[in-house]
Amino acid sequence: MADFILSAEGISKKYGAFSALTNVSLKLKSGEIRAVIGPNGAGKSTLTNVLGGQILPTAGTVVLDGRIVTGLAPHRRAGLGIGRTFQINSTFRHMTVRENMLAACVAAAGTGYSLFSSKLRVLDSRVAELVDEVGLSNISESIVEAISHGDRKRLELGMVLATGPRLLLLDEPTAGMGLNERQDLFKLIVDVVKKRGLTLMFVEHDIDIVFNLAERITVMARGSVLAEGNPDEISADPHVQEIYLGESVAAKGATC
Amino acid sequence: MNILVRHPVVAGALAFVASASILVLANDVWLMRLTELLIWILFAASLNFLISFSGMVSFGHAAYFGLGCYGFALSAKAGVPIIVAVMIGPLVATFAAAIYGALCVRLNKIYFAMLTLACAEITYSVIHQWYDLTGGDTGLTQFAPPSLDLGARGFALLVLACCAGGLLVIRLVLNAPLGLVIRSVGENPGRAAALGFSQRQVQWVAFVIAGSLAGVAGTLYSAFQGNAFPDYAGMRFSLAPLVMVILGGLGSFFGPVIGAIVEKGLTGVLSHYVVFWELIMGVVVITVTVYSPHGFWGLIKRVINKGAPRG
Ligand SMILES: Nc1ncnc2c1ncn2[C@@H]1O[C@H](COP(=O)(O)OP(=O)(O)O)[C@@H](O)[C@H]1O
Ligand SMILES: [Mg+2]
Repeated sequence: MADFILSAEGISKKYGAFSALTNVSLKLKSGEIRAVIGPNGAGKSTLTNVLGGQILPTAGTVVLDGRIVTGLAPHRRAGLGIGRTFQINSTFRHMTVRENMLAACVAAAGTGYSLFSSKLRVLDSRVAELVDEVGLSNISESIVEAISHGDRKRLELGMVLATGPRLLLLDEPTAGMGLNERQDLFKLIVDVVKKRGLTLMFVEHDIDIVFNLAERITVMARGSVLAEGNPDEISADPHVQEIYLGESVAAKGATC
Repeated sequence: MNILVRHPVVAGALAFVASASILVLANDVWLMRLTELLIWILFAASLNFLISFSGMVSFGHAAYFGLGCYGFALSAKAGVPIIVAVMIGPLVATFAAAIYGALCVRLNKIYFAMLTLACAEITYSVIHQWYDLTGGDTGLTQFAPPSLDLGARGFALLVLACCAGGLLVIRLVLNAPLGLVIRSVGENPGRAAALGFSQRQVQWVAFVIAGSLAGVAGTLYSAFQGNAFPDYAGMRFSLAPLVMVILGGLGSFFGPVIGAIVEKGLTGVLSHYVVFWELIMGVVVITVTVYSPHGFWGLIKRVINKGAPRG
């Protein structure tokens, strides 16, 4: 049990009569790389939100490092080491790239209530470093509203990494990006995860990326976990092939 | 001119020296007008801090202005030395903002706005009904010497110092980590929370800062007018700084300064010559909201930037 950094047990989420999640369980070993896949509407984002604290589940418990965090507010979970990105890009749109990163660094430094601007200046070199890490140093003074979608995705990821999380929850971190851009960004993610020894759970539609990067894969459909296993087990699972892989392999064939 | 937009500190320092010179040279009538204007600038700037930077639209900011008035007036009436009484006013406002704020920040957007309105209405009612303490509608008078014994010009300079000080406090907060966090929460509470910032706590701090600055403005207003009325905590006094913030332009630091000047200027002139002046004010507000969302300050900035070479 101590091996699991995060374990969710019997999670259900109902919207009225509709069940977005039904009795979902998921355990993440410390240091593992987990992909969550499944067709649209499967409940992947809902699950990520339950784990991140954005959504309170109707039933079930979420345990982080042996501590029950089911009803804990998102900012407290962030304080406990959960860092996350959202499917719909979430940054501070009216600020510059640098200010966005600065805010994340202030969070990491715990100086959010300080009245001394010197506390910001000491972070300058760190901010520049982090902005550079996600490849945005040439647009660091641009307002986020004015930068490309892909760059916003990079920025959000960089901000989350800046807070120094132990567990990363990434909901479609490369959605809407071009193929090359996606692979670059995933390479960056995996590099950081390996280097810092983080635990990673990511939601992703690109099957190649998922099967190349993930150590374990959770397949969801209609609010439930359909299968869980390593890439070989998942690709051999007939249910998965039928419900998910078949359709997406076909879709991929059409775009090539 | 461009340097003024680029370097607000330079602009602020120049504006301060210019204002002080004007106050020294002004005749009695203008001295009165300008003193009152400065108080309104401070009041509007405190509300602008909430609306433009903290993402919280308050419909009841007069509560803290009014409590600043009554905190000062009542303690002065009770015989507290004036120098202490002028501090009690803002303290009462700060205390009220801390309590009301803790309640209001539990809600978002329009629900937050309605709650601030409710808090202000409660405050107004208490002041209005508690006749034995506040004198109700009759208000309070003769609790402090006119112009606090500083003379009209001395008092005007004190008000200028407080107004500049208040703006400086806002500026310093905005330039500090706290300001960055307040803006972050104001702009995207979900992202701020996921980074580890507590939305409620941060908003509460911003609310208290805004409330205490409004309390300073209220105290000065009460000393300036030599009276205190329940209206100072009422709807009209909540609406006026809101109009100033909108006229000046949302999202900017100097907006409320320009907004207060425009609003006081327009109402002063219009109410003198036109019977339906409030109607005209309404039309002006609508026109500005529709055609220049960044208000008069945005307009001024555009004109200045046009005259200067682009960087
Ligand atoms: N606030 C909500 N109210 C009602 N239904 C919702 C709400 N949020 C999500 N859903 C539904 O829950 C299901 C799962 O959504 P989601 O977790 O976003 O799926 P995924 O991320 O796997 O595409 C979808 O059918 C969606 O329409
Ligand atoms: Mg989703």
